[in-house]
This record gives sequence, structure tokens and C-alpha cells, in this order.
Amino acid sequence: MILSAVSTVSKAQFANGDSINPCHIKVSASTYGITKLVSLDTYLSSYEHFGGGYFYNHENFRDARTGEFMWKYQTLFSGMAGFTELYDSQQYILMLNRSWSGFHKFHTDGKIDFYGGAQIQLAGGAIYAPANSNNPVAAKLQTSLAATGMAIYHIDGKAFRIQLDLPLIGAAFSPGFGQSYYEIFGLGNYSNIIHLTHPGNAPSWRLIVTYDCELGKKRNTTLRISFINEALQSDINDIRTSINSGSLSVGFVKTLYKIKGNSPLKPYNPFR
Amino acid sequence: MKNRIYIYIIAVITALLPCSCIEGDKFENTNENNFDALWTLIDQRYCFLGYAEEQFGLDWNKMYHKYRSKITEETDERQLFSICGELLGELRDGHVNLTSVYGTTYNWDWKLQYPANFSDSLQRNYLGTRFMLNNGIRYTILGDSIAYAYVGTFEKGFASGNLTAMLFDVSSCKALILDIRNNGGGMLTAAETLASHFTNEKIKAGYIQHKTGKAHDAFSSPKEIYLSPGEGAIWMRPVILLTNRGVFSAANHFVMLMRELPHVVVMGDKTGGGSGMPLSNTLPNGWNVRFSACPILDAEGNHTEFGIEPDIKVSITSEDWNKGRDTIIEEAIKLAKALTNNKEEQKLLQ
Repeated sequence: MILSAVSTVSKAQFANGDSINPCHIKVSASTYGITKLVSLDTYLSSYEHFGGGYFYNHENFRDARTGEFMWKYQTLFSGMAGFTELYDSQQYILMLNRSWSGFHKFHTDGKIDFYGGAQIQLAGGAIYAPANSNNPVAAKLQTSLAATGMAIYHIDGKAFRIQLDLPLIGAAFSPGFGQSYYEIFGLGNYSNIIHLTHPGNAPSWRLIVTYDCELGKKRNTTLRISFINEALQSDINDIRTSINSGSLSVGFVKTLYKIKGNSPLKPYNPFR
Repeated sequence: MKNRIYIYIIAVITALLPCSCIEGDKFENTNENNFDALWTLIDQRYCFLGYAEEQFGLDWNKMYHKYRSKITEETDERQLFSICGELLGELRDGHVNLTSVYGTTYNWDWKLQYPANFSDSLQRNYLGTRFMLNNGIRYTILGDSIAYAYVGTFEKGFASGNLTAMLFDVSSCKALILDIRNNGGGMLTAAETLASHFTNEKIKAGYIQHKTGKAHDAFSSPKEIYLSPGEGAIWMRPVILLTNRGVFSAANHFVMLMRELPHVVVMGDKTGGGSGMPLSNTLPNGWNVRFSACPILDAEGNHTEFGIEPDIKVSITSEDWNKGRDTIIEEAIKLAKALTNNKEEQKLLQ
């Protein structure tokens, strides 16, 4: 497999230093890669299917301020398309995930920063099982409020980050145990298809590990290597579902440079 | 010190994540386990076990012992496929199949144990060779202002525009013979679209349920199925709907909807049934199992899984067969004439 990487490096954006509001400085990173997948949806098959696919992740990260309270604002978008199988049984998976997070730095010793915060997640997609005649698709739609934490280790122009998102409460779509989509969408029986989720019936998580390092003599290009383990799981109406992916991706970080007073141009590190 | 505590917390939470994995059923891929998985799947998800027990005394536990004992160490995969097919055949349900590289198992008893009551050779004597074709429906005007239309499948959807055009083509006719014999079904929505062109008001035509759990009697409360008028032309003149044992699944559903309409008479043989909407699942070896999961009941709340009786039972006689006549179409023509000529019978229909 060839890891594809697309550069999103921008040239330093020069501007009148005084006009740049630090709260609007942001970093965005796009990474592309491959993923290892385990899919389960007992509505389609009672057994786990194994395979892989392609993965895309885009992250925006910036400083924010509410009154005197400084915080970090993060948005994440990830998309994954994959294929899994169990002997002759095959499944195609498409999942999209969008999240909005707010972080507050609650501890630092100069090298390691610790952040905690809250996140809103919205995930949607589908599993397609072509061999199933009347129920070939299981649709996924889930939203949740998650607790999120992050630790960042800085050393000599490199940043190593670990972030963990744990959904605590939310809502998810699920048909009845033996309910057809025809009954739901054809006959309009929408009762009992949206369910309250919590770690007891939907123990999901997302673990993000990234490694950023500056490249080049001028150190104006930042490479990102990331590993993301995401488990979107639920056990609702006696239907067990799990899409568990481990994605390795590579890309570049696009940074807005901070110019202030007479200081020379230097890379802006959003994790600081 | 604080750093270490936070790092330990992160490490412990991360290490615990895999413990909360939701997992699938655990059956190893052996002949015995695949058989057990199949039996369990039907036991927990098939919707007619209770009804089959009531109708023909099916004891699903007995079936387990009967067929499980046939699996020995010498049983190969091909033989396992046959044994599993025999097990599923006990359900007498055309919607229950097992599919693998060895093919697909079927129980055709619902159709092949009965007279065919349909011949396309005989039908040709009525439909001719210059029939009209619209949206897969073959139709013609037989004479005496009686239209004949043959709908052989519901596997493709119908467009209301096409159905309207067809009904305009035969709008000079006083009655319509709608022949769906040997229609093995397809999409419920196709059946509903066609039926919607025969009603000018919304009527309750049946119910659907689904299993809510693994117990044999765990069902949702019935959800009403309504038949609403379609877009475009609506045919409110007499309809004689021709059926035989080959009418199955979505076509059986079509009969269930149509017989609720006062200007429709069902004629021919009992339908083949198949009122359970199927879902699919897999075995540990990847074989695909299709099974009835959602029972559809008629407007009175009765099952139609084993067929719908016609209003007028007619079979093709040997005598007519030898003369190249389709007894069922002949009787339908007679009835259509009677209905369009006899005001009293018309009143009865209304």
C-alpha cells in the first residue's frame, strides 16, 4: 500500500502584525491513509467481518477567548471507506464523523501540556451487505456529547499528542430487532427508532495519536503522522453494532504564522 | 509528580478501552457449529415458528435433533449444505433459503404441490402477438369492451405515469381482467403502487409486525398498512383479479390489498402465500440465510402466509386445456360481462 499524502502547506501569510488577533490564529491538518477495520452489525450478520479501507482526516485547531477565559477550539472531520469480509460474506462500509471540541489547558510544566474539555460528535454512514436481499443496508446515525482529554509533549520542534474522546450521552438511530426499513421509511413507523445512548449501551471512543515534526532547513513545513483508533459501538434493541478502525495516516500541517511587533517570523505552534 | 499521575490516568483508560468491545456471536467455523448457528438464527429471528406449530404442528426443537444427528465427522461441506437445506425446508416457507457456493436451497411445495393453473401457451390465445407493453405490463382488449392485463412480476417498480397511460389505453372498456398468475413477487412498493390505481380513497388494507426479541412470541404491536389513491388515473370499474399458487410474496401482498376494494373480485386458485417480509443474516462460514422476519397480516388481522383463498375458485379443466382455452380467463370474461350488464350485480359490487 502506498500512503498518499497531499501537501497543504501554505506560504507564510504576511500581514500587518498588529491586525492579527491571536484568537483567530489556527492550524489545520489533512492526513490521508489506510485503515484496518472490524465491522459488526447483527442486523446484517451475527459475526464480525474483517478488512480494511481508506481514511481521511481533517483537523482545525485554534485559540479562542471568552472574556478572560482562554481556550482551544478544535473541529475534526473524518471519512472512512472500507471493505470487510467473512469467507463469502462481504460488507462495504462508509462512515463520516464530525466533531466540535473545546479544550482548556489545566496543567503544564513547559514540556507537557494537559487539556480537558467537551466535545459534540455527529457520526453517520452505512454498512452495505450485497448478499442480503431485503436488508442490504444498515444505516448509522449517532450524535453524542463526549468528554475529551489531550496531552501534548513538545521537544525541539516536534509535538507528540495523545487525545481521547469518550462519548457520555447522546442519541442513536436503530431499527427494531427484526424490523424492516420498509416499515420505518415506507410505512412511516418512526416510533422507537431513536434511542438514548450512554457508555452502558454505546461504549464508543476515539483515540488520536499524532506526531508533528518540522522539516526543511527553514523548518517551515510540518509533517504529521497520525494513528486514530475509533470504535463506534452500540447494543440497542438486541442489535449489536461495532465499527472498529485503526487508521494510520500521513499529511501536512498548514499553519498561520504569527507576526508580532519586531520579532522575526517564526512558526506558530497552536499547541502552546 | 502531577505529570505522572495524568499520564497514568491516560494509560489506564487507554488500556481499558478494548475491554468494552461489543462482539459478535462466537461460533467457530465447524460443521456442527454452522448447523447450530443456523438453527439458533431461525429459532430467534424467524417470525412464523409459533404460527407453523399451530398450522401443521412444527416442533422446532425436534427438528434440531432430527437433523443434527445426521452430521458426523465424515460429513463434508456439500452434505452439510443439503442437511441445512432439509432443516429449512421443514418451515414450508418459500422465503427461507440458504445460499452458498453450492447454490440456493428452496422449498417449492407451496407452488409445485398444486396444479399450475396457468399456461403461457393458453394465455397467448388471448393476449395475441400484438399486445401492448407498458412498464412490463402486457395488455390488450379482448372484445366486448373487456381489457386484459398481465403483470408477471413486481421485481421492477411501476411509474404512475405509465400506469395512467395504460389505463387510458383501455378506458373504453367496461371491465379489466388483471392477471397476476405466476407472479412470484418482488418489491412491496411496486405492488402498492399498482394497487393505488384502483382506489379513490385511503383504506386500511392490513398490518405489519416485527420481532422485538428472541422469544418466539416477541412481536411489536401491529402497524397499519394503508392503501391510498395513486397519482393519475384511478380505475373504478369492475376488476377481476386472476390468481394461482404461483402468486407469492409481493404478489400475495397485492392480492391482500386489492381484495379490500369493493369493485375487485379475486378468481382462480388460492395464492402461494409468503406474507413474511424477509431479512437475511449469515452463518459463521459466510453462508447467507434468508428468512421471514416481519409478518404482514390482512385487514382483519389474519395471517396470509399460506395463501389467500379466491372469491371464486376456478381451475383450468383438461377439456378446456385440450381446446386451447384458459378456463380461468373464460370464467373471468363471463363474470366481467355479467358485472357490466347486470345492474343488480353492479350494485352488489358497489
